[in-house]
Amino acid sequence: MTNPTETPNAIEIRDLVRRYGRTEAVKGLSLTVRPGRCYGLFGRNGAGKTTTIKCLLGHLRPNAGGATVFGLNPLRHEVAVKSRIGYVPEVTGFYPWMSARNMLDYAASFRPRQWSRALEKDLLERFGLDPSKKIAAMSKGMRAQLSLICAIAAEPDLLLLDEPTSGLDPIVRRDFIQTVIGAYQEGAPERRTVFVSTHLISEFEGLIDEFTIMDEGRAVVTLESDAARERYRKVRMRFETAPPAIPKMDGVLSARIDGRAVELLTNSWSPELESRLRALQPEDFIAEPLSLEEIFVATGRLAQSGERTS
Amino acid sequence: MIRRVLKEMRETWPYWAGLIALLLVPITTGWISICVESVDRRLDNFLPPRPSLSPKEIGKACDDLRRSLKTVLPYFALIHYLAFLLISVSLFGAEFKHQTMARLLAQPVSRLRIWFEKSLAFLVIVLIVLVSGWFICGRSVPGLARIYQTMALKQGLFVGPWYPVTSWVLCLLSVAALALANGTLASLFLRQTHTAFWVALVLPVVVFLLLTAADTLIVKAVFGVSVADWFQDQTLFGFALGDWQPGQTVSTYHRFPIDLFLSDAGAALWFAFVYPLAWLKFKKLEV
Repeated sequence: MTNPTETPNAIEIRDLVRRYGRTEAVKGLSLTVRPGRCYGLFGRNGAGKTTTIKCLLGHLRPNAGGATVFGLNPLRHEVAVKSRIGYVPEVTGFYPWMSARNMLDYAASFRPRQWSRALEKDLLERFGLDPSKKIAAMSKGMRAQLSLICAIAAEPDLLLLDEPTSGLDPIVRRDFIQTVIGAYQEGAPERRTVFVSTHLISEFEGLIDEFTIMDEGRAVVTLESDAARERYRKVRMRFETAPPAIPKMDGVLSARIDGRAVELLTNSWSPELESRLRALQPEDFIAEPLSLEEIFVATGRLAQSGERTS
Repeated sequence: MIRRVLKEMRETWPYWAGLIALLLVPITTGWISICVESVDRRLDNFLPPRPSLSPKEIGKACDDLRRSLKTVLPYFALIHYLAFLLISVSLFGAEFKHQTMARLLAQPVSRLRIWFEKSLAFLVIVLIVLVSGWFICGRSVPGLARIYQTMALKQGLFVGPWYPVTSWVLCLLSVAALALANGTLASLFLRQTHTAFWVALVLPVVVFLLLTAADTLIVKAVFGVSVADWFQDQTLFGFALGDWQPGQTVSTYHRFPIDLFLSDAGAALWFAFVYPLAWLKFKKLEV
């Protein structure tokens, strides 16, 4: 855990277990998020991402293990923890009779000292949201934007985003993420932490510093994004004739042969591996980093096949 | 906090505004006026008021009023209970209906504070309804006012002209408390509004009927007082307003309303059991 003299981690989860009846949604998850990071929690639907976030908020009680937010237990220090969190839930539920202005004022009433009217105004302008518009008349995208403004205008230290872009069209999605999350962290980059759970990973490419891929309640992979791009590579080789048999090599996740071309995926890219592959004498050799989404897909396949990567 | 209390009032306004509108029905349709006309006619005989000379006549007038109002009072009790139940079910049920519970619980206030603010909003609504009810019904019926003015009653909270007011308020408060407890518990358990409303409406009746059928001393002692007395509350308006008995003299009108306290004690007992249970449910609520 955290040394008391140091700044506590924004999030610390240790051996978290949460069951719904006999179903184990989270099975001994552990992860650490340092302040100022943008952390991704990736996983397919039902992987346990939302359950994890709800445990961080104190909405669910863990069956075993636990989580702390800035060194505090969310169940014991309910108000202290929540006053540092901005939360964008998966379902953007609002009171339909309210206007955007009513909703923002209502949200501000919970944090009168924290709430930044200037930031609220700025975000409304960025999104082009009309504050007088009734929520009932808003599109799903507008509601998602309003939900984000409600979370960010309080200038929290930790922004918890649970599938913030699901259901939005791709243009709105990219705009939404790049504009707002980037701007939020720019305000105080060393202090402001983003913890985002999603299965739409490509939208967060470039923003995520570190991520954990979950599958069936377990962490399959935890990596820094830069390290992941170093380690995970897609190698394309083209041979003059039919490709030779690819020898079994550690770290090669998959090999696909298509005519004279071979495509390999690896999670252990190294100069040694490169030399071994070049030794096969391809006429073309391209090794390119995987995107986070490709890493997610590759890891998902690994998880399905029962293999675990650390 | 005021903004959040106002939000609850806005959320439930169709119910309490509807209740106030329903309170107007007996006035606008002449339901009550017809009842009090006979009282008025009798009182006309005593102007200027000389109550000490004719307590019997005043008593008869009151009897007439009580008999007449007997048809109106169950209506009042029913609309109050239904409206208060809809409001109490909506306090938490609407958060599930709009899918805002997770957002609400993520706000930096304790669950106790949320509970307190919703309860406070309910109390404010009840007070608005009580005052409106008194102005609409109590003050709009000249006969009632004249009875109180005509009788030289002893002054006090539970005697004299304040007795109908006190009993009205206590009775409606107990109806409101029961509706709040039942509606809140049902909506938190069922996580919605519609079924919660029907369950909270029907379940006490079923419990009452079952207890009546069981008819054992222990059951009645433990549960009967609280549940059965809620139904007795409905008739309390009648007792309260028409407590004046023929033959009584004005100066002796000071009967201590023990029946009212017994009834409210039953309601209080039920409330004291169910409302903390609802709080525990909310405290441990997982969303």
